[in-house]
Amino acid sequence: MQRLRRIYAVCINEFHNIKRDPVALRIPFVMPIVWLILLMPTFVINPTNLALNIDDQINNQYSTTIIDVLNENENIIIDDDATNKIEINAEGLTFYFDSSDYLNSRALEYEIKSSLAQSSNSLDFNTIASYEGVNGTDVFVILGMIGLVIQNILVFLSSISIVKERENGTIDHLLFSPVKYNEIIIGKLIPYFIIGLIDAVILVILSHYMYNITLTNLFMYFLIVTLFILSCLTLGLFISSVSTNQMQALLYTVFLLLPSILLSGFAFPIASMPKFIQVLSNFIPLKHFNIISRELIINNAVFTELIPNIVMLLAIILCSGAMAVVMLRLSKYKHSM
Amino acid sequence: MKNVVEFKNVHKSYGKKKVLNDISFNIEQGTIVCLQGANGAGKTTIIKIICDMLKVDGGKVLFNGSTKLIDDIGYMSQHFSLYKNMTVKENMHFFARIYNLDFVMVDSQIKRFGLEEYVDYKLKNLSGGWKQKVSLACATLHNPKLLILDEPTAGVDPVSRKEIWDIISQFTTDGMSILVTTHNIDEIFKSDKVVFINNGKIVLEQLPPNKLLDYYGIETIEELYYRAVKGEVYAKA
Repeated sequence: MQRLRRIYAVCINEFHNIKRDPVALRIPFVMPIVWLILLMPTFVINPTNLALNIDDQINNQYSTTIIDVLNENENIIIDDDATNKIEINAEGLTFYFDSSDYLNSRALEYEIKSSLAQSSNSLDFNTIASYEGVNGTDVFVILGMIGLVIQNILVFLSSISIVKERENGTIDHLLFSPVKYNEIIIGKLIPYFIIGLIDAVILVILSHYMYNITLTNLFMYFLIVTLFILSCLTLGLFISSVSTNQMQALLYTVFLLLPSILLSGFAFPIASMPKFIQVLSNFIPLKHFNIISRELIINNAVFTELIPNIVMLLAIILCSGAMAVVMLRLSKYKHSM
Repeated sequence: MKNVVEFKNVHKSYGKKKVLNDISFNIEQGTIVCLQGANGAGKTTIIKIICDMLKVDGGKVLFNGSTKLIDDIGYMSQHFSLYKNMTVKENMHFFARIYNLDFVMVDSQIKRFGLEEYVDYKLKNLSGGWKQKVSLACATLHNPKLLILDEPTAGVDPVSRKEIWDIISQFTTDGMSILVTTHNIDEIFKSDKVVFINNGKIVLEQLPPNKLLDYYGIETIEELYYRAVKGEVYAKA
């Protein structure tokens, strides 16, 4: 009986502790609802909205029939700007597979095959992949993995950096001192930035020696890595600046990280997701990093082709950095002493 | 003497709860003002207002005669809040850097506080008294015009308490103004003026501690404070 009473005391105490942290109490209930609404549509088993560019070089009845067959497929959208292309010429059909958009390209290849198989003119076609390296799939995965690892490590580390000082009371000294709020954010960011860069170098070296994958355009790649690291760190510091304790910071981080993985195009093609989720995915740095690194390494893209995603990464850095500074300033009145 | 800080009829509420009610007092240059009151009396609210962490609802707070805040404040918090995993020297170098001071200042501060033996100790390995000394050394490294000490000797042994107060007294001779809160009632006598607060109101005349006892004709400060809280004696001003 005494044992039960002691367990009851510990249990009740824990309930009180949970109750007194409204944010920590809210997140476990809000998280499943938001995740379920937001993440269910991201699990795309059968990709749709697959953009295909058709280059009809013979323009006769044979090619018209093929185009009609492809048009009938609900999952295929004919788009002249699409990077996946099917060429119809006198020698037959050639499918130009965009390795940087591996998930969509693979689904598209399957859809073309099944459409043509169902047609009366049962035809085969050649596939030419845009990436001529060792293994297109491995490169696609490794580039995504590098982003994923860097993001997870850096957001976790930076998300507790300010809140740890808040818990220890050491933040008061910084807030009283002549140090400006943006100087605190930049000062906190630099050590983790160096950690992120070292991590990226380790990952590139490991992928070379373990998976025989040599990344080209390394200078440009590391410039993009730099922007990506900064975007992860500013996001983490923003989380840290709004959190009252480390528990809250960890919950916010988990709340952010899972959607960011699913909305990054690493596991499921974004084009097949609902429109509002596609819009939402633009705020995820990992999505832009994945697009840029795949375009750069797999398709040897030039700088101008990467500008839209680079601009988005810069916008995320500036917005989340500015929000971190503002929240830190406001927290002076909320949390200190 | 010049007033470094002047509270004029200050009011402050948290929601419906009034925490400061018509508070007026001043801190003159080179003096120690002791803010005395029970927990929740409004002491920390006053400190927060001085440190620009709270805005007043009514009244005025003047710094050197102006409403412009002074940024030359040293603050030692109630809870030990330095980097425990760093050494004494590393902590002091951190403060020197953020205040853009030469490391020579750190060396002289180490000597002033008698910390030479402990410079390479991590703070987590120091006793409570030494930790407070390091805190005070860090808070005063930039030689602030106003020093706020929130219970500087809480949990400190009598020897360290005396040493800490000897150092605090030295600061006033250099022209530093000090606002101190304490629950060690005997420490009131180290101050030049006592401000007693209860339920957000100043409850006794603001006088030097000895004069305060004479003024009310009560022998001990504990008795005076007890009777003030009970409403048996009160500020006439």
